[in-house]
Amino acid sequence: MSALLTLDSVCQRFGASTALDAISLSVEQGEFIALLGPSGCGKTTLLRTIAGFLTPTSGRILIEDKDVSAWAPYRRPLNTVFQNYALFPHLSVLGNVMYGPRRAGVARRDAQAQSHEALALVGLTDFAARFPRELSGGQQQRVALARAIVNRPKLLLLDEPLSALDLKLRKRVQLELKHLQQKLGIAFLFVTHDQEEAMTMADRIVVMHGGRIEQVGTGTEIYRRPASRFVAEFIGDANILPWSCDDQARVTLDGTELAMPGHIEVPPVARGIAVLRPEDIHVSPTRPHATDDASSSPTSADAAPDTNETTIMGSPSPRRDPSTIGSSMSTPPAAGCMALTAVVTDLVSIGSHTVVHAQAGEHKLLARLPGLPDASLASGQTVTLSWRAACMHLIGDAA
Amino acid sequence: MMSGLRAPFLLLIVPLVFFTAFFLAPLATVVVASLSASGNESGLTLDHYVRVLADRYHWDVILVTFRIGLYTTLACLLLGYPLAWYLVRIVKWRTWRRICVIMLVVPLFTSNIVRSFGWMVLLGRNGLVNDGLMGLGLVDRPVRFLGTELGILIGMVYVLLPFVVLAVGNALARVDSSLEQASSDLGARPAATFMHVTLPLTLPGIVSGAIMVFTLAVSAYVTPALLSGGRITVLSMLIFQQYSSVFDFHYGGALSVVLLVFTLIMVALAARIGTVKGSAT
Repeated sequence: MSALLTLDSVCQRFGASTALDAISLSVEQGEFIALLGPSGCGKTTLLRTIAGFLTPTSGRILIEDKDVSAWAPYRRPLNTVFQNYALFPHLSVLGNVMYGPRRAGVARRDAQAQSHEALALVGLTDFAARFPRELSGGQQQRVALARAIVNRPKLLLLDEPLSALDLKLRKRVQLELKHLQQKLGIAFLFVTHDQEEAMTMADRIVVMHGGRIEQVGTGTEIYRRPASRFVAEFIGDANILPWSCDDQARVTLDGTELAMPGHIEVPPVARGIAVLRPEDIHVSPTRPHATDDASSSPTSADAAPDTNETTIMGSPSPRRDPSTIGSSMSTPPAAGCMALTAVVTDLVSIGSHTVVHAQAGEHKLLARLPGLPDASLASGQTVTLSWRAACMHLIGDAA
Repeated sequence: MMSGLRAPFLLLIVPLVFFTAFFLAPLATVVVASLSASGNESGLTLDHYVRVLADRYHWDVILVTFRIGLYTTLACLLLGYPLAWYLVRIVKWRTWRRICVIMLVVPLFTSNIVRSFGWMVLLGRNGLVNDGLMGLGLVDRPVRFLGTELGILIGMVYVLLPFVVLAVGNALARVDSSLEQASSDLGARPAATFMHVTLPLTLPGIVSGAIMVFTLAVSAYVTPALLSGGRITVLSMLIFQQYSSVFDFHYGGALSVVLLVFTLIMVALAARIGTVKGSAT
């Protein structure tokens, strides 16, 4: 079965500026795709191009193998939920929802029945006679949704439809929308700048930046294996460390050779960056006299995370080499683990977790610990940051 | 403490005095005159109104007046809406749009008399319009414009068109383009989008433009007086006669009040259309 929507190197240029640069993408029937990117990345332009409000400068848009690039919006078998909802202010809620079926030539009575059905789906049965201005933002968003799905489109385009809602409502609507999408089997193409929203709802996420697609993948893929520094930093928090590879294929991380566990992929280039997620870092206080105590075993304070790690990794607990002070990398004797001595600069507790800001030489690192901070941790303290090398994701420099 | 109250009071008193002195007082004078007995008798009477309404001739004049007003309004809407559309939607070049608006508004700065005389020249038997029509072979002999309702209509439309263009243009510019896109997205062809979205959303502008044109048209004096050639009489000409040559202020006042009441009824009807449909905007 062919793809529902195929974009074939779609370009969109406005004068000298390029809004979309050779976008190629295919969307399957019933898929939930999130177009994710910062403002100005071209995601809304792409959506408007698919909807037909903009004609691509070059490239083709195919819906079920039909080239619709030159079709006017009203001919395209898709519907849009606009960012500001664009509800008709002079029509009642029912009138708004009936608009599509009526234009398609459905008899008034049938259009009414279909519209009531669609309103029931979004939980607005009792609001049919109201006018849009009498509804809250969340209700208006539902009307916009009902007005689109009543037409049973194969593809629904949603342009940041939740951005006007408050956080609590947004979280609830995200899940409702996901369930509705699964129930209807309509493919959703959802534009958002909120990575959490994209992660919550989408089957696949398309990360856009500067008019290009940076990466397409599931939420886990783009989080664990970002294709570029941009993706790494845009999706969640990332610690970025430089790595390089010599001609003997030995990888060094910030000057220290990296003991390579089997399953860490090294791109075939000479240097790049390593991405390390804050929740993968364990923080343990370095004892004041650790410098003299070269062969000290892990203290009880950091035994807990290490034990934990051992279970996950199935490898021996990492031993630290605290003789190295400051920023230099220390290669842990235990295979697959790395550690770094750093100074805590800030300790931010958000209740559910604690963010440790640490300075290791020229690098600023973030670590995220579950729960409230350990009483033994304090700002200005020297700590050891440790992590499994396998948690790192290496990205090669394009240059 | 005092200055906090005095400032808004002073700001209010000026327009209030102005409104009373130049609008309410003259109107009251007219109404009182229309209701008071003429000659040396005193007391209130409805005689003048009976005289106005009992005479078929007056009804004919009222009919002509409101027919011209209605046709003028319709013609202004039919010409003004596309013109406003052109200015707001089609013209992309700002300078050209400004030039168009200036061309539209500049005639309003010229005296009504001058403009109407201009039309007398243009619409005359040997005027430019007739020359043009005959030159194109559309008519065999000169069309008589002067002294016909058509002539008055042409002159009025020319004078009053800017009001519709400005009112509708303003409404058109305020229509959220995403609503028209939503309509198109929902499968409506351009014509359907216009009928179901753009037109209803610009209705308040249409109504306010129409009310302005209609009230100005039924109360217009100079244009009908000059272009009628004495063959057609509208209510304002009758009123002018009573005040300026007959000096019957009672009868003239009654005619004025009749015109005012009829106009207000029409405006109220139009405003109702505007609010019933436009309430949703």
